[in-house]
Amino acid sequence: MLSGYWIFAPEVLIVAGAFIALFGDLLPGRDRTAAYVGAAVAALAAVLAAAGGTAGPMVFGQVEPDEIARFARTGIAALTALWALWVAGRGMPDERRRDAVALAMFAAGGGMLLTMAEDLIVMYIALELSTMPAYVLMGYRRRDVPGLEGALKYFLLAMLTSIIMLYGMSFLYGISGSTSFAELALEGSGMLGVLGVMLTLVGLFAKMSAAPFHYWAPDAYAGAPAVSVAFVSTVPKIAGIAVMARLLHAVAGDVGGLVTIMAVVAAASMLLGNLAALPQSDLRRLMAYSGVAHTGYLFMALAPDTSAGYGAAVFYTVAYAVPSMAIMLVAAEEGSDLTDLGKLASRRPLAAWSMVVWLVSLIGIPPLAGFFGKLYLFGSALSAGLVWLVVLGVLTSVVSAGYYFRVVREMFFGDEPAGIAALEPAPTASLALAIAAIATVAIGVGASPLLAALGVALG
Amino acid sequence: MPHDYVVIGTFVLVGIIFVMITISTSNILSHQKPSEAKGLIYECGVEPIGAPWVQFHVGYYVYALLFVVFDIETVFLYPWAIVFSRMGMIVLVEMFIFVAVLLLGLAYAWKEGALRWR
Amino acid sequence: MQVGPSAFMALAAVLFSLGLYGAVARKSAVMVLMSLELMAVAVSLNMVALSRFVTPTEMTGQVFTIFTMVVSAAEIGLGLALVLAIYRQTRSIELTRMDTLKG
Repeated sequence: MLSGYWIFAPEVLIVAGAFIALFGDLLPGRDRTAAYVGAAVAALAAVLAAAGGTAGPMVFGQVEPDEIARFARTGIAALTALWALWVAGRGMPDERRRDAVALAMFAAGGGMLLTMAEDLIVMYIALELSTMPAYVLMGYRRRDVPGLEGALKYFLLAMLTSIIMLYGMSFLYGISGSTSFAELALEGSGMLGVLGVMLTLVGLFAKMSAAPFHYWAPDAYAGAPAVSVAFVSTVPKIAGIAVMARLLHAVAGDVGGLVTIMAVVAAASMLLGNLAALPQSDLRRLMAYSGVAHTGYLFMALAPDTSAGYGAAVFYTVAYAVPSMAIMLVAAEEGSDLTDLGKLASRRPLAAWSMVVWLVSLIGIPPLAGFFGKLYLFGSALSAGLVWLVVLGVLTSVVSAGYYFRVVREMFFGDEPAGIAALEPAPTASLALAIAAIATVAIGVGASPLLAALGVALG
Repeated sequence: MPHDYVVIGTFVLVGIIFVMITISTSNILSHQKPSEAKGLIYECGVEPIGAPWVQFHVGYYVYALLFVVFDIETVFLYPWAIVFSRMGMIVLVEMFIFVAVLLLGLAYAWKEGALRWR
Repeated sequence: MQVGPSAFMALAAVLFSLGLYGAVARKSAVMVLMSLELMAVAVSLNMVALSRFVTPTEMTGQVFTIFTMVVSAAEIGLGLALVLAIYRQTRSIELTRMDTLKG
């Protein structure tokens, strides 16, 4: 247990690690060392976040490191460590490893702060800190026009929606006279309060690529390097869900109709994401749409404003993020077109079988992480009486098996892509993938103690 | 609350109408008689020399960007200066941390060669 | 006549709508960025006005505005850097021509 301000040690460590990585070319061994240092620091931060325990509201009530924040912070730091470990082994295209690791760690620091935010100002700053490095991660290759265009589109939409969110926040502040979540008093504020909450949620919907605001994701991901997508599409999502749980919990009592809004957005995301993913032939696009669909599943649990639902949603973001990141990392090694994975099973049987584990977890087949995650998501929606939503969730999960198994078929029965060079062995990258595969199983097996710790939060 | 609907409706309406009015007035009031002299670039009344789209040196841009970033960060010093006398040492330490982070940023820009004129 | 908060909020709404129109309708990436900046200014105005009328003794809204100003300056810097990088490659900043990713 860490007490007092020491509870923020993981965040301080991550940001310090980011600065060390930024100046990585001054270290012996240069970029590779920087990535290793980043991975080690992030792993240490994950351990500290997990062991650091929880506390009540701190720093004038602006942050609250509670159970949900603890779980999400641990997840973010651990995934960042995993990603940095892979980058240490394989490197980034164009060799900007140290900058990439530094950016990812800044984003992780912002995300970890975001999970604790109990104040609109903190939330805004942390959200920006967690998304701004993402634009650079996606568009850092100066000569790569599709990458730059994808990054610019992502940037313009993200900035537009964050200003809209800010406009909503200004109304929330104007109505309640305070920026603290705990003091948001929207009761009797009528339309203006609903408008404020809706505008604020628009910003979060766009960052989580939920249905009506999802269209940036496939384009942006398809242009960016797969390594960047592996980070950008997973880690910020954990932080986003955690802060959304907090915000919804703060306003759901005062503003009616939020259940309906969340349920409709969830349904639209599940339908659109899963159906649009079916014909995709680029893994990055496929995973972008799969991400939209998973946001839908997550919103299903956020809709009813129950602590069990919030716990289930935060648990599932991690259960989704691990396999999703690992799949993109394999795509970064093999190439992101589906045909690039042809006959992967005979070339790299271990990687192929790990892919099967991750894909199966994303579909939600026991005993993997995804199954228990979905079980709790559906359960919390059911207990709130959202039967139609759960039926839709189950049906779209069945549909999702269609495109995930297409990847599996390509790996086992596809044609070997012509003219591929044998991949250089990179032990650390393989280690990162192995950890991801084990974690996918372990989170599934250890689901009930993990969720028991989470379920009591935000009561 | 019907009153609130009226307020919001008015905001939205005024917003839309204002844009429509300004754009249409400029269309109605302006004479559309372009001549060669009118189409010229305005350079303090002197006849323009060369093409208007001169490419500025990229170095200016990098410097401008660095200047804007550091310039805008000083905005935090003003509220800090006001509360400083009341809050004591801890605030001083916090500001040193803030400035140290900024300096690290500057050091990074230096290391990457952004301060070298090319 | 006393000028109340609604006058400022109306002005902010007008500025915000103008910016939103520009951000959606403009074709040049730089103009879109300027429109976004206009929207940010509208939000700042809204916040400062609400701070003055809702919590006259506390500066919460004004402090919030300082933070948003700094963040949007940083964002614009980043956006211009992206636009510049694209311009160097394609000699164009027209958003409508950026269609390499359609599909």
